Amino acid sequence: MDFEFHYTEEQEEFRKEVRAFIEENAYKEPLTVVDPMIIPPEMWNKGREIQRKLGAKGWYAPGYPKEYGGGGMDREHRAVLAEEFARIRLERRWPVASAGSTEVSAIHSSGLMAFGTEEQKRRFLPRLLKGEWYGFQAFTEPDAGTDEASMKSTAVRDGDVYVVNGTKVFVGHSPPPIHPDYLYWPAVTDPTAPRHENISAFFIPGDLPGITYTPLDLIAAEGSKWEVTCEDVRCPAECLIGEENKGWLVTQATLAAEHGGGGVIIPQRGSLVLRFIDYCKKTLRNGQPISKDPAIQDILVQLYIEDRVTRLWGLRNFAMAQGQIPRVRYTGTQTALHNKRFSPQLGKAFMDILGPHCLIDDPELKILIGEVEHQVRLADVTHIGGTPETQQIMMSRGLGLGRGAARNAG
Amino acid sequence: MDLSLTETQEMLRNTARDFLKRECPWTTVKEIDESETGFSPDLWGKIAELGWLGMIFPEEYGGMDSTLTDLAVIYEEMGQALLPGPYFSSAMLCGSIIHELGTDEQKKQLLPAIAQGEKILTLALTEPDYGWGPECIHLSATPNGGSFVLNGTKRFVHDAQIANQLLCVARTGESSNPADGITLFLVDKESAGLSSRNLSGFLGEKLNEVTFNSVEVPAANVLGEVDKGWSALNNPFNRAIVILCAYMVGGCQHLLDRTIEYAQTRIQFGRPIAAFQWVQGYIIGQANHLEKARWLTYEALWKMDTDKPQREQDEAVSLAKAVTSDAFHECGHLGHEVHAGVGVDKKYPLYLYSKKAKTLYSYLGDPYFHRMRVAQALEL
Repeated sequence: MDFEFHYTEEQEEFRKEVRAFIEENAYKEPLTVVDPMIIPPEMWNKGREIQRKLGAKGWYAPGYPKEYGGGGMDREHRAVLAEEFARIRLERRWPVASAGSTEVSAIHSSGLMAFGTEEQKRRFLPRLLKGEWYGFQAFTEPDAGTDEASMKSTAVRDGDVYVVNGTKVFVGHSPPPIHPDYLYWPAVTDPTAPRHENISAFFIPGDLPGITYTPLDLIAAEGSKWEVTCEDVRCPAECLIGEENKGWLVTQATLAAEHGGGGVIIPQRGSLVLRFIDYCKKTLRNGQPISKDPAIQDILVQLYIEDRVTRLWGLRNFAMAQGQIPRVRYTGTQTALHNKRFSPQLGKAFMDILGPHCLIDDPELKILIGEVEHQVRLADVTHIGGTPETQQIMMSRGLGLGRGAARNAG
Repeated sequence: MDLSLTETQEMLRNTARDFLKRECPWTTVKEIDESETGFSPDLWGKIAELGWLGMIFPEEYGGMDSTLTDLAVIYEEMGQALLPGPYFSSAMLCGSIIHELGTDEQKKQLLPAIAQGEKILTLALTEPDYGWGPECIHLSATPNGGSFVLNGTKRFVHDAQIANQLLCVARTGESSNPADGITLFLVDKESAGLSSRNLSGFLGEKLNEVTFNSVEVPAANVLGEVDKGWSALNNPFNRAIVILCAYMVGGCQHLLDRTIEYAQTRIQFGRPIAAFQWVQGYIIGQANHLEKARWLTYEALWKMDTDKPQREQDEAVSLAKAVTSDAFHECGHLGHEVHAGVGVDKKYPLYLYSKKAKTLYSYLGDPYFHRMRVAQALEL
């Protein structure tokens, strides 16, 4: 076993090229914005501009096929890209909106890739995989959260268009007033069909008449969140993804990609946990470093363990996706579940070690430029991309429990 | 980055799996567990023949120069089968210490004998003042002409009931630093003044109390330098602990597989209990513990095998032991939650695993001890 990446000279040359690009586009000074819900629109726009430049180079969706606008790159080159983007993000000189390599619209392509017609792929994929389009994943509704299949949105065929009605909530990332180029919107197309066989998926152009965007006021999220309403929106029929009434499969393929089954490379250095440990070593309380208290040491080491597990499981999933080790069906959701369970643990640790200092983002007193306060808020936001309980249900299936078990027992 | 096993490792794993399936079913484990010696000479002989005992020793001392990861693959299988016996104590723990500290002559004399299973050694370290730090070593060794005289008590000595020799950690000097003044001695089990008794208790597996009443040990039996024994133990302990972790990872895997199988086949309220979300939650807990333990252990093995800087090795090994001790214990407990009544019946193997998990929980340092060692490595 080897837990380190090794690169050829050619790959190291590629790294230099990536670094030069990053330096040309990055901010010169570290950013002080930590809350992605309140990033300024000009920063968002700068991020989008970079994404389009990345797309032109094939670096926006580097692992996707070249013929559809991806980079068609092998895993070593992708690892170089991922490492370099991670590095600049940790230096906090990269616009928040630009996650670097594979981004939201590339994830939106998964369902299309699996179930779209060739014609649909040619029409949509290049725009998604080159980062030209930015979209909202509009799945959740006011009365259909975890039970996504109970959605109420409807789309009724009327000649060349579908007439769409309904409301989606907690969607998007862009700061007001920036609207998306498209809405990735599943809706009921056959009210008489059984569950899961009644839904179709659409890429609705974001500027059609009848669409209303309302920003939401939330305690924390991974970006600004919106409520979007469609009222008799006339969406061209060619915006259907896959076949009519097969939309459930399309959205599930997207969710599988979103949940990170392919593994991620997380750099060892620079995580919030490591920076917090460093803070505790350097900050004095009653004349000695906070980290000298044995009770605090134990909390810090437990955080360190979970942080290490996150990194190791990322490598494990990556190795599995590459076929290095046998595939185990529950590992993708296990990683998502772990991150969801760890977030509250981290928030609680901040409260135990820092007391009320972790509750403020006062310009002079905030800790780690406000990331600590932000994490304490995020600790109560574990539902994004599916509640931990939903992850548990999916993991159970991966373990051969639940539905599978009932079937096996006949 | 490549997390796959080598071809040799795959082969070792298959050999070990087949051998243990055939030779060490759980009924054999139970039989050995219930015997007075906790030892099967038949299995011991066969495993010595397979070469597992001396695998990581250099060839000149009867070994195969294998890596720790090679050996860990086998120990993981041993843990799955819950193979009982002094394999770890003698070959891994004492073998590593002798390999690290012994003179050429001591190594020639002892390592091939350990590898062939002719000699069984065990470590006598902890005392009535229980703990794995140097401050807990009080048993005294006083020079007397060409030998040392040992007085004191070692408690919770694994496998002493079957060992021929004890590797005894003794105090030869007092100073402000408890790590100074510690010396290691090879002591024959039959020495005059040495007595050993098995401590009773269903859970404490083959734990013994060994009393040293003016036991005379020749100076030639000192292992390493006088007074400098403690720091010399660091590296052999790292190697042994990570192998012990591999054994426990195997135990966790078995507990997960067994519990899933039980939950899929046990019918209550007209359906398999695996359909109940509380039951699923327990099993998910097992899978989470297992995978944390597994990958921290593998990473530690890799760091040891590639000789990463000392601080990194210490940290990785203690991370692995802190998490793996917990994992094995929790996998056992969660297994009992799912099995309920069936799990407490000795006609079913679950208890053997949960019992072993409790014995190994604190062996060579409990989770808190190792978290504090991580804190040290992180310079908190």
